[in-house]
Amino acid sequence: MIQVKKHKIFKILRLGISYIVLIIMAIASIFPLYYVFMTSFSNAPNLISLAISDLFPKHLYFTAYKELLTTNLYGGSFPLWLRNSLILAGSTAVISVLLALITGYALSRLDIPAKKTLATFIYIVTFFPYTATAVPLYLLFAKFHLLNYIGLILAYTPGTSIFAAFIAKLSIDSIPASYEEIAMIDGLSRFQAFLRIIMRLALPVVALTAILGFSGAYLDFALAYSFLLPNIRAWTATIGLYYMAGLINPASAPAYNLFAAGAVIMGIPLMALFIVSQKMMTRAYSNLAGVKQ
Amino acid sequence: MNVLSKNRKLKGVSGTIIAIIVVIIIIVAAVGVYLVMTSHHPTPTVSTTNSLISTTSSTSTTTTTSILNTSNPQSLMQLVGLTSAPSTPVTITVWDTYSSSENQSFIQTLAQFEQEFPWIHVKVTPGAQVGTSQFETAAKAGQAPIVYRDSSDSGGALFAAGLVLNLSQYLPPSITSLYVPTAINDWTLNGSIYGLPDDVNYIVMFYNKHFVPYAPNTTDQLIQIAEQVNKTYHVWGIAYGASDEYGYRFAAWFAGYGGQIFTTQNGQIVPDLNSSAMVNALNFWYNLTYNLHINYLAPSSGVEGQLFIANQTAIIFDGPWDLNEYLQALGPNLGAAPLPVVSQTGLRAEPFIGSTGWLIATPQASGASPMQIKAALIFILYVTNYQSDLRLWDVAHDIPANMQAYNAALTELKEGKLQPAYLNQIMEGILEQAQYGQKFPNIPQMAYYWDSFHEYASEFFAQKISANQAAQGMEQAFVQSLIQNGLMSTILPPPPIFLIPYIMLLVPVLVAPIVKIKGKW
Amino acid sequence: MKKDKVINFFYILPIFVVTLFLFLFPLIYSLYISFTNLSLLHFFKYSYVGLANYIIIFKYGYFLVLLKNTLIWTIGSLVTMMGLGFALALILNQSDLKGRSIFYAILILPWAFPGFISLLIWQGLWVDPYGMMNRLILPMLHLPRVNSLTSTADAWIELIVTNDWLSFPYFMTVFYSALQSIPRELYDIAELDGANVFTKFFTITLPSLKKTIAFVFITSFVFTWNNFYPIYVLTGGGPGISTETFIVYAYQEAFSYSNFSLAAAWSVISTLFVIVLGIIVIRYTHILDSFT
Repeated sequence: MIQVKKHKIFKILRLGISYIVLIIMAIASIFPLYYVFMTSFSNAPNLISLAISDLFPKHLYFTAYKELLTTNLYGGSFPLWLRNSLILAGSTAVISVLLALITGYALSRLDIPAKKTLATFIYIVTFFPYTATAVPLYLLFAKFHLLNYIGLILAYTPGTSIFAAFIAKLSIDSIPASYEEIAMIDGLSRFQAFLRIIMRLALPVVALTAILGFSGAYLDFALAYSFLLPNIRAWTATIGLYYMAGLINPASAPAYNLFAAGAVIMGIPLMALFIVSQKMMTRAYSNLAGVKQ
Repeated sequence: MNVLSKNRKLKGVSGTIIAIIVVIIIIVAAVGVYLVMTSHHPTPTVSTTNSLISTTSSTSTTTTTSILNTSNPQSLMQLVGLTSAPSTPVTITVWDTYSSSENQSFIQTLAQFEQEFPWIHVKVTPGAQVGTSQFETAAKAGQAPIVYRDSSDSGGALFAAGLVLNLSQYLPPSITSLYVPTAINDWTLNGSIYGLPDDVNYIVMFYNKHFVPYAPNTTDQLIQIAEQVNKTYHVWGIAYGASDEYGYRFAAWFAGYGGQIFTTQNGQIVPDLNSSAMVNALNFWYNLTYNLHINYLAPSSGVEGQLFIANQTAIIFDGPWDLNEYLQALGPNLGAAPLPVVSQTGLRAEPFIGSTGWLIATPQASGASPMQIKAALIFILYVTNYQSDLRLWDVAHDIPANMQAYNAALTELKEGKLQPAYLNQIMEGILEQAQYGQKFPNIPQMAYYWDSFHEYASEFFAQKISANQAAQGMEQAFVQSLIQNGLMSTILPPPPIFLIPYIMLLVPVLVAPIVKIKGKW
Repeated sequence: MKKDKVINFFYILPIFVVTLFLFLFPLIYSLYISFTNLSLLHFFKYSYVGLANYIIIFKYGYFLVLLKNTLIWTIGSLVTMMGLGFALALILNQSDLKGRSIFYAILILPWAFPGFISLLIWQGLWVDPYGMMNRLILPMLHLPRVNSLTSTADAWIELIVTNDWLSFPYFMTVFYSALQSIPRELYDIAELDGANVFTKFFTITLPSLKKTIAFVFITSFVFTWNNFYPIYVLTGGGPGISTETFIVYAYQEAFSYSNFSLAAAWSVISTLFVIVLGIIVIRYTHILDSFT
């Protein structure tokens, strides 16, 4: 009896603390984002509300959103740039997934000479900092006339793909090779077996790679800016947003409400992606836990 | 036994394959590097014909009119050596670095330009930045724009590096008469002009007339007024983020205490930051911040502006580029005046009188043809002429650099023609500062001032070092970076003894992988 | 037999080619120019200067400071982020927890939301005394003020707390998915054997997660080491250079001073460090052993 009671008290304590921690962290997670929302609906282009009462504004202004969505600059506009960003990020996601899974599959199933050395080599090379690759990449791509979306996609994919390839490999390791053998006996080629079986069973890794690839390309400013600056109709949403919010030219007055509004517009599809795929993402790493192996 | 031999065979095979792979990697990478290296020298198609053009244009101007006219399309074309418009249209690429309010003026100017010069197509790229390396990176790849707008100091560095044209080789010397002397001076390096200015910029003192009864003339008055404001209204007297500073605004106070950034020693230009002037200027602001508590050490100039707009501070130091914001927020309460005289020395606090202007990239950087260069010259002469510059003044309140426009602006002010009425007085206060300023150094050494100043000023205002240490530190850092970048000659090479601590640091790092750590986690 | 192997090699060729161009080329290019004097003043014609840049790096005294700062930044961020993510993962992993999806969806937002605006918001939040951190939240928690302009310790707190906020959801996700894959039976058996909470944790949970922790540690270590943006936006390396890391300094060398060769040398040195540390961790934890 006492044992059961002790158990019950313990359980209530444990759950109680858990809920408290979760609620505190949830508030901490939301608070800055609440700020972003409030700034986007405000009239004053400030980042710091100088009074606590500003946390609960009396009036919601849509000026920022209106200006963002209707202004036209030399043939470019925020909706156009947003469309560009979605296309760019989507393509990057697709290509990253393909690259990561093909490589992961190869690393897992196929017998490749010097596999371990190659894998280590590829992995180590990505340790080189991103900021240091920007200028050499620009020079290289300028030479090959790749200062456009194709060049950008090529520049974005390896970052995610290499990392995702390793996770894919571990995931595919846990899918018995017999599945494909059976499929191939049934008449499918290796590639079809790959598509039908692997892609479906390694879905969590696919989801993770797609999201990481998407968000990396979607949110990047530096590389996109240096590649796409001369072509305003091809700008991405990030470049356009920075420009319209006056954050590029130091002599312009920064309009943080515009910036916040743009971030909200850009953030909504991204957050939706994350939340929708949460089930899959939380299974993507399950093969890293070395339980049996 | 078969398995064993097979394994050994496979090991031998995989060994050679590794070697082959490594060699292929190195070859491909080396080839790639070589290809990119050799693409750095796009053959410039002109070099000898330039001098011919300049001589003919100088003779042509002396024969036609003695007064240069950059508002007339015909005379503009003559200036660059063209008698009539060419049959095929020419395209020039322009990087627009105007702010949003200036852009409104620029769009109109551009429309006018395209009307008067239908054979020149202007491809404008908005969103470019002043003084950043995007231009340099593009230049390295031969992708720089033909026309670029930059500040006079970073333009000077580009000129010294050979990335922008020496306009003195293309335009007659009388071109300087078209511009305000301080402005065109900013764009002159070693007697050569490398850009044409379209505005003059510097900081002034903005104050809120609701709190401040009269503009302080001296620093003693400044302190007095600030203390009054603090006591009576409980808002900050001054908001000046001296620790966020990179030395652009602080240079005014440094000059006010008698300091100078550069001096010449044995014919070499050397920094002169380590002086009592720097110590006194630093201590002055330390005093106002930490002893008198009348200055708010803002983390950025953006925060200063926000406080000013929200009536939370009475005085800030900013430039006319933010004027529109302050006008909107404060209306008739906005006041502008020159920086005060430093009571201790009797010298005025002299801000940098800088200028932003237009440059033309060298053909090596942009791949431009001679005809494109001519079109570019016409373009920059046009956007810095009387009408264009006056438009900038009318729309964006930029202080004109074109002499005619500047005089017209002064006349407008004297006749009180600006709307709303209180703007006249404000602009008068702003223009008054122009008389008390120092030239914005445009020598290549200037680029190394900013970070050296910032590093030690921020430490000083964080109360970690004394003013003396700060002045010494920033001078040392400045000198070191000049030496590192080859702008100052060193004395002797260092002895290798300094390497010993690093060697000792490396030993455990190198030894660690060799020592195998056995056992579990 | 051999032909098969060569064909298999083609599967790995795409990633290999891409790596070659996107990572190896910049690395070799940077290595190459670090031995020259490429800068704004030697732009189109530059010359070979041997080890001059490296001598400058070691001679002028910033190297040890930057190394110290980079280590504080990387290890400080990682330990707190991983700890926080791990704790949250443990909490979410409890089978009798209600509303798990909702909590997870909210907790993942800092990672999901565009970082460029989050950083600016945090910059505003930390302004002393106007930002909400110093005005509302820290007083509420009875914690002292944080002013990154006047104190290095405060600056580090500001940087690490913000970095934690930005990245903890990633670790939470990783550890949660790894925890989920530990079979229930192991815990049930241990409980039957009379193990209490702590024993279960140390004998079952931690060993199973060894590989996860190591893999995540090494990738996040590299990522944080090279993470330039938060420091650049929040403190700019200040006060002085007390929060400046290798990567921020290299960026300033390149873009403020236009000294591309020196910046490249700094990047090379920084990468060498990370590679050495990386190889040590990889060897020690046998992460890549499953490839053979």
